[in-house]
Amino acid sequence: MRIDPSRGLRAPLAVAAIGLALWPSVFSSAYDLRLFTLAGVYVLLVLGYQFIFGHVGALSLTQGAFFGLGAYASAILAVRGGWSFSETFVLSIAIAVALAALIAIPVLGLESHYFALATLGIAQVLLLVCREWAPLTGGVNGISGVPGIVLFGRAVPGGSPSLILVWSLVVIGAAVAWRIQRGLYGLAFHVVRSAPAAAGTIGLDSGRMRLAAFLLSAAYAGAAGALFVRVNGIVSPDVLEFPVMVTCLAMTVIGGATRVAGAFAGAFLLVYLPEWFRPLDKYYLIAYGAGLLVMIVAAPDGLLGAAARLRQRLMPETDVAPEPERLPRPEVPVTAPLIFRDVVKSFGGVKALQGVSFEVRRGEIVGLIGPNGSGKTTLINIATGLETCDGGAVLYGNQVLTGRAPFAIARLGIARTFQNICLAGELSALDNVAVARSLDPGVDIETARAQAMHLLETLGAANFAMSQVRALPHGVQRRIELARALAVQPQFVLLDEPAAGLSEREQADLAGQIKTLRTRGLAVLLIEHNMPFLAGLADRLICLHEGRVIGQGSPDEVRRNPRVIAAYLGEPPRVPA
Amino acid sequence: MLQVLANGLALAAAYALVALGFVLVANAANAVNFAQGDLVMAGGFVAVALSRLWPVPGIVLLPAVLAVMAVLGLALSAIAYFPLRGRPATAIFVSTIAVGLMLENGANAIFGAEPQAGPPLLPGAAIALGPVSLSRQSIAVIVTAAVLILALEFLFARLRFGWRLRATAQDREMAASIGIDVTWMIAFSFALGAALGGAAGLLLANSFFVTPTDGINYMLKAYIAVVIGGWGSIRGAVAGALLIALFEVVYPSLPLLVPALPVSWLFTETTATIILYGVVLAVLLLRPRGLFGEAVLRRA
Amino acid sequence: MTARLEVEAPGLKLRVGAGEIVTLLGANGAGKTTLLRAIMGFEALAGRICLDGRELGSTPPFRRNRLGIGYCPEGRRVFPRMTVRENLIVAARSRAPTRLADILELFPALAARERALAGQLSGGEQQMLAMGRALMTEPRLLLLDEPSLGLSPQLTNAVMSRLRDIAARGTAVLMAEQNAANALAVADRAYLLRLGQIVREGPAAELRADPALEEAFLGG
Repeated sequence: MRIDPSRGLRAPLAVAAIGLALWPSVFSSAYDLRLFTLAGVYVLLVLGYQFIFGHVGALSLTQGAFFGLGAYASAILAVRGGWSFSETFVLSIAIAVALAALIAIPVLGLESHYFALATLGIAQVLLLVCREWAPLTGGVNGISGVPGIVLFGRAVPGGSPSLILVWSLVVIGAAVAWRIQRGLYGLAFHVVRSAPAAAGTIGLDSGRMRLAAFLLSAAYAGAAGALFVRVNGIVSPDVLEFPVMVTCLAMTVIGGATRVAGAFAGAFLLVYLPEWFRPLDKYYLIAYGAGLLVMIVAAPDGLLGAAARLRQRLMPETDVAPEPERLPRPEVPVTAPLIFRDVVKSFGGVKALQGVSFEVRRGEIVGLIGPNGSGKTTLINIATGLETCDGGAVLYGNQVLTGRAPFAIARLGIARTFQNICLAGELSALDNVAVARSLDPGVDIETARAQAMHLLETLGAANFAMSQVRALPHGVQRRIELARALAVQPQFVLLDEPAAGLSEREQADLAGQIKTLRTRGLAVLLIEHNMPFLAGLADRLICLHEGRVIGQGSPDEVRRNPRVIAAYLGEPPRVPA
Repeated sequence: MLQVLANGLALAAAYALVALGFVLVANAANAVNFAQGDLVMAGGFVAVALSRLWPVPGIVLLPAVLAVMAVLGLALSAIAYFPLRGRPATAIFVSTIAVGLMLENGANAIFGAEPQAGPPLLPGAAIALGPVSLSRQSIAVIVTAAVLILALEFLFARLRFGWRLRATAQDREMAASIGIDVTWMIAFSFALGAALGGAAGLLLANSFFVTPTDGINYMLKAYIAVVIGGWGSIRGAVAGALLIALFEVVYPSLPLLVPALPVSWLFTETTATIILYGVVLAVLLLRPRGLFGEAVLRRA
Repeated sequence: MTARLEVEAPGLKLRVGAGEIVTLLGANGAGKTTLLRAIMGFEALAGRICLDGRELGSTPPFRRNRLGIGYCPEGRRVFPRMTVRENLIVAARSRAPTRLADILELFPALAARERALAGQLSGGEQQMLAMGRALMTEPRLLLLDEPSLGLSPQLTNAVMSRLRDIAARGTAVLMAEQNAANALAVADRAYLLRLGQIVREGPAAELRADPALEEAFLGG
């Protein structure tokens, strides 16, 4: 598959870009120039929205509000305060970002439906305030007479010069967005969106990423609003009404929510279609809604996504796998064991863990066994920060792990895999592993991919590097998850049923790879039910039952332990059958 | 004073219907129906259209409005929900926003952008109740809504069909495992939710007029009611609606009732709305799961 | 003996007849739950599943129930905010009052708590309720997934003896159990699963003494 599906569109997009750049030269009226400039403003707005809606996948409904806020800020400061363009431009962005930062605290942590509706509420409040606070905002009539752009003391007249200025800013904004989308950040957002449980465990601070995306979207919206009001000369509460937000949403969805080119496509389409269909006036708005609906159902990645897929279908190309590159040798800061001490956890009335204590030393392979419901996965979730514990602690050296966020624990050198595989299905195997290299600050996306290639090779999955993960067989996916875990260069690897669903051959391979980890000095804790698999592999076994350790020792010892046997096979019934 | 209270209760009754329609779909389909507010608006316009054909009291038109809106709800589920099963939640938000958009612009195209008045529920002027005279409309709205809510309560508490709806909302797989056609239950929930919203539209159209852009406002009210009352709780939605409506009506009237308060910008309807939103945001900050927690644990 | 249920897939060939209690044994991840869910239609299986000789194909779960398969899932999953009575009646086909009386006779503990909310029942009571609910649909084949999970030995015995009564009335019973001793005490036949395949099968009495059992869980 293509690692970057848009690559196939490079040629047509380049042609389109040139066409777009030349188009204004045939404009004859001021109206045409203004419309084109307006389209540019919307491109900026949509580029911003792509960060929070496209990359993070959160339905924020404040984008229109930030836009309006930027517009009002510029208008008020320019008309009432006489401030210059550059001052108001910067301030509009700053004010939008400040509001975003303020509301991020209560709102960003909310789950999807609460977040959407909370942001809608905020947007409504802003609208009402603008309508009512007449002394400041001009009330229902808004503010008029906003001066045009003045740069370096010289007025930039409307028409072509304004167009060029606005579009220069658009190009800068697009370039920034493009860099972010194509780099490791783009992949990281993808993982935060489609495999959120795994994101923290590979060192991604999803909270910070979401905040950054939200602030970026506000910044772009504020800038767009500031430009909008300069081009139009007036601002009114209309700019804060819901239709503006819906237009932004429609442009983003129709163009393609994660592609920079999509912002251009969506903005142009929805600015110009009404112009071309003016006679249909009232009805084109209905078509808007219909178009949005059709898009979200049939082509969720928008026109650009559909175009990329079509191109791939007509002229399939595969990217060449990069040359593998070894990972740099990690410094091993601490050689201490991982200690579980009296860990207690309840879910509601159910006591999942009732005081579990043991340790895992470097250079060991420890197997964690026990019947269903004995608390094994809960233990790993607590060690990797996905759950909190009610009592006890997990220690690594002199660091207490319990209570830390998953990404912090990953950065300390603890990695894991999941019982139900948690990979980003639409990304390639290579990219799923490469994104985990982002926790090393010096690494860029090319290096990350090369290093990921090396990891896939060591696990015998090199042939699958360029394939989409969700199309891969189960056994291969498990290997990819393991490669991803190793990409963070951990000292401890916690594996949750890694052999589940693997053939005998694959199990033998996996056992070999785990032994290699031991040779390199890593420690491995694995949950397994597959005894034959564990028997030749584990140095020690720990058996849990109903939240307690009921047996520890060498595999032979534990398997002969009568308490362990009873736990698995069950006590025979007291009342005769 | 009594009239103020009556107005508040009438508004509450209508909001309760909107919120109920919203909660039903949220429970059964595990989906947020962004078009709920626009369905209210649509119901209002259906009432306006029908009353132009047959100039009868609104109460006579109620069954027709319910029927038309139920069909609309089924259509909504067919185009905006069922094609998107298995996709992330944002997809259904967007699809229902899209349908809401179509409803709004459809109404605009057919009826124009100006507010329209719907038919009064009952003909005749104010009712005398002792020394006070109350608007007939307020009483009629309260009674009608109460009847609808009681009918709903009856459906869920006594009728097997209602029990099947509840079962579907609580555990879809287990409902299927005991022979319930879950798809049909969900579709019916959409129909019911739309019918309730439409009924609210009819009830509100006379006193508050109906405008194509009303949708957002009602959507937000339903959402706030559900946040206050506890996501997924039917009784909570009604309680939440009551609180919102009473606040909206009583707050701006405070200067009239308490002469000591200055009549100023502090007591307008807009300020009331702003305070309401502010309170809700504060609630979400402190209790991200709503004031009374979630009655239904959603499958995120 | 008429076969109520027949499953044929690579490495998986099993049948359950009317009035039989058959148990699936195996460690976690052996595929027991997946198999039961596939029989009920919640998951796909690369093979054939036939009920009373008729292949089920892609029939959806609710229709399989109407054809006669009842399902009692792992973790009970009663409808928490409905009462015991409502949980039972909502599953009834017709003749609800008589059927309800039957079920309450089978599970007297439930009769005492008819008006209680299902979510507030104890684990054992919920297990009884889940079984009763499945039985209200008048199944000819009853599927149970880990019925003894989280139950005390006494309650497990009670549940198992009810299963014997149910089978005695002609229902075929197929259950997945991790606790082999409990299951084999009441079952007629058993299948041992490993990695989604059947590795041993036979009468329960034989398997009780079979070393393969211990090996399947703890073997090397």
